[in-house]
Amino acid sequence: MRSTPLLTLATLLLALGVPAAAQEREAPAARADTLIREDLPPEVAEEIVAFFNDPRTLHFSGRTRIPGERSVSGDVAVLGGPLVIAGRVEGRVVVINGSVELLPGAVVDGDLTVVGGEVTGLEGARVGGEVVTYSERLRYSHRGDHIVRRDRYRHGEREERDRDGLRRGQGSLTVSGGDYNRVEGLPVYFGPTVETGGSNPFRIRALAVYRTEEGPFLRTERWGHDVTAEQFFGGHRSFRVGAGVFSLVAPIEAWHLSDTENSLSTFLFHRDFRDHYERKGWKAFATLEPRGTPWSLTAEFRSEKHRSLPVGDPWSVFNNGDAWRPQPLVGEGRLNSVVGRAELDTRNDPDDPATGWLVRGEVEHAVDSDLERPAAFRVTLDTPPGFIPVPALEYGAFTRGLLDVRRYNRINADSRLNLRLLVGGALDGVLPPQRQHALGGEGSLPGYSLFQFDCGARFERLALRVPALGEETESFVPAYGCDRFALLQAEYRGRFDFHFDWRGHGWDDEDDEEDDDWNDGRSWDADLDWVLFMDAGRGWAGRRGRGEETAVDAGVGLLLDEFGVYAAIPLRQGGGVNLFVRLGSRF
Amino acid sequence: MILRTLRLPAWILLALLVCAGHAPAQARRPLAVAVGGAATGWRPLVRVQGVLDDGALRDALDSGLPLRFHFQVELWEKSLLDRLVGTHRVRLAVMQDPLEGSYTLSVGRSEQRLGSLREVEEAVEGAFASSLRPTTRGRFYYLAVLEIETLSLSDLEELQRWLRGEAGPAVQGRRSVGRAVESGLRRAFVRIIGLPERKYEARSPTFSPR
Repeated sequence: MRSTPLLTLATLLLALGVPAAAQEREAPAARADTLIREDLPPEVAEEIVAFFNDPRTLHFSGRTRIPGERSVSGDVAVLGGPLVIAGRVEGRVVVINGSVELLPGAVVDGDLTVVGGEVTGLEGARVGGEVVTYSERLRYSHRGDHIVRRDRYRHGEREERDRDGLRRGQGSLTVSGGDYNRVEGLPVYFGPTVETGGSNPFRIRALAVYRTEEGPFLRTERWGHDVTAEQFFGGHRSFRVGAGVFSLVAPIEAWHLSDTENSLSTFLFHRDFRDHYERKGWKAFATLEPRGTPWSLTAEFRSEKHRSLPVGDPWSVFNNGDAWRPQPLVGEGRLNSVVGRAELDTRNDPDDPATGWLVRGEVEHAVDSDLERPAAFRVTLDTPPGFIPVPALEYGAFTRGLLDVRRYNRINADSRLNLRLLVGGALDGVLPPQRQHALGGEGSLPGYSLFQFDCGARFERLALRVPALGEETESFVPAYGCDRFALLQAEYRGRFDFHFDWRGHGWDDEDDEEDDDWNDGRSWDADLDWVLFMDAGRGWAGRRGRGEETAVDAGVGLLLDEFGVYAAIPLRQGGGVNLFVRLGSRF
Repeated sequence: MILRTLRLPAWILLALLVCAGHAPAQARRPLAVAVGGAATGWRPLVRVQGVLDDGALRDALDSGLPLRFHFQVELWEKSLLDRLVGTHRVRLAVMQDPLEGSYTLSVGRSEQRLGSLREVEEAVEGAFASSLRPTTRGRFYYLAVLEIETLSLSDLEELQRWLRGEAGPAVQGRRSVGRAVESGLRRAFVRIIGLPERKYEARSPTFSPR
């Protein structure tokens, strides 16, 4: 053991904060009838001014009250305010730089838009259209009866904006742990992130990586880096271009389990569900992500060198004395590739989706590749083991793709049907191990053991050199998995709604007759979700050898919020029950 | 049957740890949502009662820590696969003034001074009022979720930004990664030192507007 367990534990706990941050994702804009926005977009400001200047609009200025018995026909615009509505407005209402108070019984038939103010009293009033408030005030000047929008940055305010932009820029120092794994141990990331202010900021993040495993303390193998600079364009952070240099240990496939799950499993149970390789190089990219839309596109060019990495000897809470699972040998050398990525996300809630689509696609085309698996020695099972030379294996150019399609459906208030189709692999050429796919294990086909469907990649052991007398053999497996794969996952989620109510009237069943009572007896509730799931998957080896038969498993699970205990059983090829825990939804 | 990967002591430990964090969420449900009926346009009527009777939350408030409320009510239409008709989200924060003992309710940039926890609950309930309503015929129901999180004092700046709607995802480049990581670390710290968080869910009966 080369790392201090307590230090490792402490840093791992800190590291758990990182996924939490990464998951802090704003829900995609679902249809909302009340919208509160901080900023006033220029196009909205123009619409507000046009609305006010429209001769058909009824104008008011300053404190305005529409009495209870009064009904106003047509659109209403109020400058300054506040506007108090007790009666009815048969049209739209816009209040500029003022607030609206809706008294009980107030009615607005159209949209209610407030700029530089707020709306109160919605609970007792009725608004037929949308209620939208913008906290930012409208900057305007009078031109006779009309108002004209003032450009925020005219009249010598450019300097003020620049100063403001710099003021709003931010810098921070990051010290955090990465994903605990059997190659690096705990990678510790540290370094500054600097972002300028304004709507088109420039951002640079320069992180050094220190690994608690791999090589002597001060040798270069212990250190990595990840530096990315990005410039945003077009306002609203919708488009950005960037470039970066990196030297990282990367997982070959990361979609099976979350980072947190894999880190905890490695740290606690000596089970690393991922294989890793080293990437060093640079990249340039452009990302289009229009604000308010559910999709994004990224194009990236990468020039990098890959290298196989042996397992380290990180500490684990249980089974610390066991040997770690060997790493695969990957195609080593230079790879220049072009990558395209697209994502469509219409889920109502990314953390707990009940409806919507999530579609992710990625295509990588190797434009120049000299990757080859290095010459090695096949390790025989004899005692002592024999070493048979194996020549290097070249991989040419290739094109690969990965498509992940998920659909979330609510069946009723208490149940959901979720589906996922994941396909990927070679579109052209033969894939090097670091681009192959393996199925089996809790993250894909939990009824089967880890990487049970790897197209024979782990059938034998290789060593890069013959060990000296008495030295332990540093062994690898010759590949990672299959050239192509497909995985279909389906799950039906329901809910046990334990309800104990000693006043005798609990929540009505949804199909009971309509009832708008509160059902407010003192009661205790325990919401526990259950899940029935089924998975089917298959791998194809392409030109390399044997493929895999279709594997099917099924299982059940109990979920308390995001924590789930599952049992899975294979329906083909035989095997026992696998009982396992997940710390998030399966997909 | 073979329990192939059962590691009982470790799993039990892990389960206890996780369940311990969630156990308070199983307390008496203080969130309820009903349907207002035809007179109110079939809008949701949200009631928040006793949410601040929770000792841990009250202790956090008494210690000067802000409580962050994230409320969401969804209108669903029943069919073969239920359809999400609309969503209404509200976020607000409550803090106690350590000198006066009064409370401040912050929604967006507006603040409201309140004298008692009961007034705070009423104000929170008022802030949750939604004009969400069905506009077509059909069978509908509302689902409401209320999440309450205790923040550390160092989260105050972030809280202000959150209330102004500036919080966005770091992973998609709309927010500083450094900020997100800091936030994540602070939250991990909050979890470790055991500040309470709660999640309540409620649903209305199914209704058919006439």
